[in-house]
Amino acid sequence: MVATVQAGTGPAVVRVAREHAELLAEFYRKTWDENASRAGVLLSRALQARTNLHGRDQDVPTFVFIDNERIVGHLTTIPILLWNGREELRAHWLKGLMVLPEYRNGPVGFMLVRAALAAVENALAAVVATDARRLFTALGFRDLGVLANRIRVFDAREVIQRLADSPLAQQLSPRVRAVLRWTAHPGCIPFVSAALQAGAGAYTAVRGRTRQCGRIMPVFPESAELHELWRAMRSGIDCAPARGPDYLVQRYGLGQGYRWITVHRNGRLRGFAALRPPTARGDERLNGVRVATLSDVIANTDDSETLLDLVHTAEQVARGLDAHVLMCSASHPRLLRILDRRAFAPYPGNVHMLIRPNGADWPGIDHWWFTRGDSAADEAF
Amino acid sequence: MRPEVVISRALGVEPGAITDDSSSATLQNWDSMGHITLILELESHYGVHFSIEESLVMKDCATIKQLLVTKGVRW
Repeated sequence: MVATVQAGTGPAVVRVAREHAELLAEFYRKTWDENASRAGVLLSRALQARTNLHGRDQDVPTFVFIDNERIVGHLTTIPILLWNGREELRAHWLKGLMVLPEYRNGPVGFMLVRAALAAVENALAAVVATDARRLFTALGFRDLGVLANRIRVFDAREVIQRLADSPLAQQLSPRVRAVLRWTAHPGCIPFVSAALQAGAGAYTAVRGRTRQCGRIMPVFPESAELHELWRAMRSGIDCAPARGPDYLVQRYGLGQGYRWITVHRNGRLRGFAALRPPTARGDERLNGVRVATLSDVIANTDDSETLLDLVHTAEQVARGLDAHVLMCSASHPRLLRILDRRAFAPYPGNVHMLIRPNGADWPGIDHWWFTRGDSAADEAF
Repeated sequence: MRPEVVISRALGVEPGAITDDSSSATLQNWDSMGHITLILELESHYGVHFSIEESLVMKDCATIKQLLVTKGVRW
């Protein structure tokens, strides 16, 4: 069969080592980052190795397909620990599957995923594209389900007007487009906007009242209290990518632009959330709508008050960052209920969470605590 | 069996939809996974083996037929 994984002179999948840095930089310049350099690649990989949750300074497994002395396909991994209700197991997100256009619809993607699966234990993937889902499921992944999206609109006027002219509107049904155009009309939009605002305010006052004790933190919480928080949280959930202090620091720590929100009660950390600010120019696909993302929420799932406080504070922080919208994606029914109580509206989801289990049988997505921050899926906004 | 029929089965399309010009650019099911399914079907049906280099150039029906001929396959 075609898929032999070996290093050699012919086309082959190889695991990335230091000597591939220049080739990787060239590939990244063609795909994601026109400023990528050999030095940047080496630095980035060294940092990933330093914070590798499977072992400090262990190289993160990355695979490339090399043909004619250039990289034409790429797949990397994110080492994580996976909580199964009893223990934390080693696992990897598969991430960054990219094949140069002239090599697509061939064997490259298949060989990359297969090589990665041979090297890692439990594997997860957050996948949108249908062809990628087909590929992953054919290689033994199980589709757990779609991550649910919720959005809280702060500035309905801006959102409706921008959406009406966005490329996204062209994908909507004629009826929805007509409604959008009608509501965006200058004679109509002030009333629609005011009605939505008042409705959301009244709804949250009744259903989503909080104690308002969430705070935005200038420094990252202490490891010990994050450790205690995660231990309390995990006892209430069946499965999740583990959210221990090492993971949280590596994922949302200093220098990555996140805002940190905490809830303390009686001097103890009860909840933590990470918020990703909107990009400076807003989302191009949404004609510049400024989307802040509630990337992660960590709290005891029984502690509705803390969850409400975290979400409410995130709303305030997002408003302060001039976001038009705050988005939160989640799988767990408890968090979704909290979002509903804070007047977050459902928005069609498209991120499928897939797992290639190593022997164990994993339950469906509503037993999991996934959020948009998992697999760095919040980069999409 | 003609290659067009094997290809149509592998990709889940009508045999009549496959011509020499059929390619990954013209057939929606001919994605990365479709390509692998196609190669496995061809290898199994004709008892041949394709190298990685060959699998990279198998982007249309005409090329596949040429490769099969070079491997001594007749239909």
